Amino acid sequence: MRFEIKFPLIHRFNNYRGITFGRANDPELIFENGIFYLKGHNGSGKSTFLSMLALLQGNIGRSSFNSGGKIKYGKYDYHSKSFNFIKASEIREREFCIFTQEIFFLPNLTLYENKKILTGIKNSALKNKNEYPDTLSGGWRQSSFISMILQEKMNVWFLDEPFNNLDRENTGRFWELLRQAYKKQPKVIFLIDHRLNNDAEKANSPFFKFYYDLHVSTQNLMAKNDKQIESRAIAIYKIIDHEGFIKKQIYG
Amino acid sequence: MKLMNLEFAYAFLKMVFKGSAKWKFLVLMLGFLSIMIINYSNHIQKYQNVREEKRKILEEDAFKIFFVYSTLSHKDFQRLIFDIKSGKHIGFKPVYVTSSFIFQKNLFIDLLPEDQVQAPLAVLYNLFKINPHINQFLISENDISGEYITLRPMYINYNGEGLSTKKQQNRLKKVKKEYIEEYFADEIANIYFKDSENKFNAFNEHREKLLNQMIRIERKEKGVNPYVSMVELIIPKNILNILVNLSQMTSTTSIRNAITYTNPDSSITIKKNLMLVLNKEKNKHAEKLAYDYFLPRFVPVYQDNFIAIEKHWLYESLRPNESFINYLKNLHSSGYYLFSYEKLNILSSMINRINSDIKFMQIYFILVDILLGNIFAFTISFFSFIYLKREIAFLLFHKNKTRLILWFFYLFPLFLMICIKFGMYYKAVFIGKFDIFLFRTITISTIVVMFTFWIMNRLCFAEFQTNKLRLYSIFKS
Repeated sequence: MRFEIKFPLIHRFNNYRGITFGRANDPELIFENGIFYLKGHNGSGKSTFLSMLALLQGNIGRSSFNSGGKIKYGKYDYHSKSFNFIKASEIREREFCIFTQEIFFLPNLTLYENKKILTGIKNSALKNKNEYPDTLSGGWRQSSFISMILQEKMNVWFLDEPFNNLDRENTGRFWELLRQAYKKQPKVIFLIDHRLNNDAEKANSPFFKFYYDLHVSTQNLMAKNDKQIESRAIAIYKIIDHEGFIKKQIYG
Repeated sequence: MKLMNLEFAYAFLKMVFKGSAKWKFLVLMLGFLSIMIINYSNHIQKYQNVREEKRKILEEDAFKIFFVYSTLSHKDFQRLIFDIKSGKHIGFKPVYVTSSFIFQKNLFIDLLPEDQVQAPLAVLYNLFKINPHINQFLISENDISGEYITLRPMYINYNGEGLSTKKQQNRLKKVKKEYIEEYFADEIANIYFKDSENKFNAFNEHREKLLNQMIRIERKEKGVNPYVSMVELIIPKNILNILVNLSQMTSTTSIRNAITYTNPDSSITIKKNLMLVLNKEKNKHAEKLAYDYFLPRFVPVYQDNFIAIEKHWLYESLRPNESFINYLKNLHSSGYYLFSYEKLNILSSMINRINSDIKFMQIYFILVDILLGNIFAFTISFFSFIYLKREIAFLLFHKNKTRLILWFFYLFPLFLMICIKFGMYYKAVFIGKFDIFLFRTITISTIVVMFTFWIMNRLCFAEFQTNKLRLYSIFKS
């Protein structure tokens, strides 16, 4: 599967606020099968960028604010006014796994029911499946969320800080899951996680290959003083040796 | 797939009725549903009441027949009837019922076997509840050929149940004296028995016997019709017919033999044709007599289909024949008074009130129903959106259930509303007499609510269904 993005990619939240992604000398970015790691400071726009790719934000529908750039996923050409939210949700259902920063369950349903409503899988090997999410620890919630959300058949995984509350054992499980899923069917995986920043920054890292340097500027016309326009950067790395990278994550 | 949908529906319902919100949600729904039930039952009750009033007016015999006071001479009365027959009065054709009249406060009416009674007379029979007493008057036909008939001279005590016997006797005495003895007999005597004293004596003999044999009959049905409650006695006009017919006989012997008083229970046997009204065409005197012996009197006038039903889209109103009303009012103001003139005005005001009641009731109900329906639907939608925003966003993150969710929040309140409406109207519409107007009212209001609620639903869930979908920010909020 393939994402093609044409810069500058502009998303306007309203008349006063907006965010622009892009680089002047290289106006096109392509994501094809592989694991992509996004590195950036807090508030640099990583999540916004991913949510635009996942059709959760952006220029969808006729009433959205004028913006620039284009995102193309397979045969779908979105981030344009001709696209609508129903089509967007259909694509999300069929193609994407979205692991959000916020862990959220349907609170009055058990884990099993949560999984059932999301995936339609009846026989689940989920642990604590008859427990209500509120009664579980943060780590359990996180790992349950992972096992509910991530499905092998999906072509694109958006993983926004999936390890926040996980211990070493569950982190290992996660990587194993990812390895098997990728092995079964190559896909595009976007990963955000601050713990890998140091590894990625190493000049001679055997797993991270610098892929793209994304410039982000946010505009806020309502802000006081000089904070109207701020610039940040997101570095995108591609994982080159998946097996080795995942083994390192599991065994250290 | 089916299993999936069922599971989704189950989980979704569980989600909607979550925790503390469940009770708030239920209380909210119950509150609104109670208001609706009160509104509907109130409307049905009012509607049924008005319908009942309408039915009473249509079935009220007193509103089909009016008694016009006639002091006219025979010629004038003929002219009055001729005017009507000549088509001078457009839009109505009243019938003067000559086989009945009210003299002072007493009704004189021809009592005939039920199978011979037709429209105007039948209405009078119903009005005064005479039918049960016909067999008491017409006892039997004692001859196979049907030439002879046995009668029992009698009168019916219409309004005077509580009076003492003495006062009741006085009433009859007064009628006999003022009408039958003095006026009627003297008139006849002057015209027909000038030259024959024997004939007059024979006639007088019969007259006195007949009058003395009259027995009082108490009514089988209690209570009197308020519009004709002034009537005291009901007297069979057949007795007058017999006297008139006797006066027309040529020989004294035939007069003497005309009535047989052999029956022990004060009944008499006569030839059938003796109790019928004179054949006016054959006898000029008889024609004059047939009208003159009633005078002065109230003559019933009857208009077929006087009150018609006018159909509108939402209701049925009553439409009285205005031309006939004006005709009666003109008569009254020209000196031909109506027996209980108030009835006409009461009828007009009743019809006006019912017509305006039913019209505004239906329109008011539709408006209130639309308003309530919308407020209810809007509140439920808004409540759902506020309480379930994150859950819905969560579902939409991963599944394309947008339309299903929106349909649910559209159809769920609508379904409840329709259940209540048709449940409340079940008795009125489907079990009771089918009323297309009541059905139309709720259908119209339901359709309007369906339409307006669709807009409200879109408004409440705007963030999920307009083009400004900002799912991520909803979820994060």
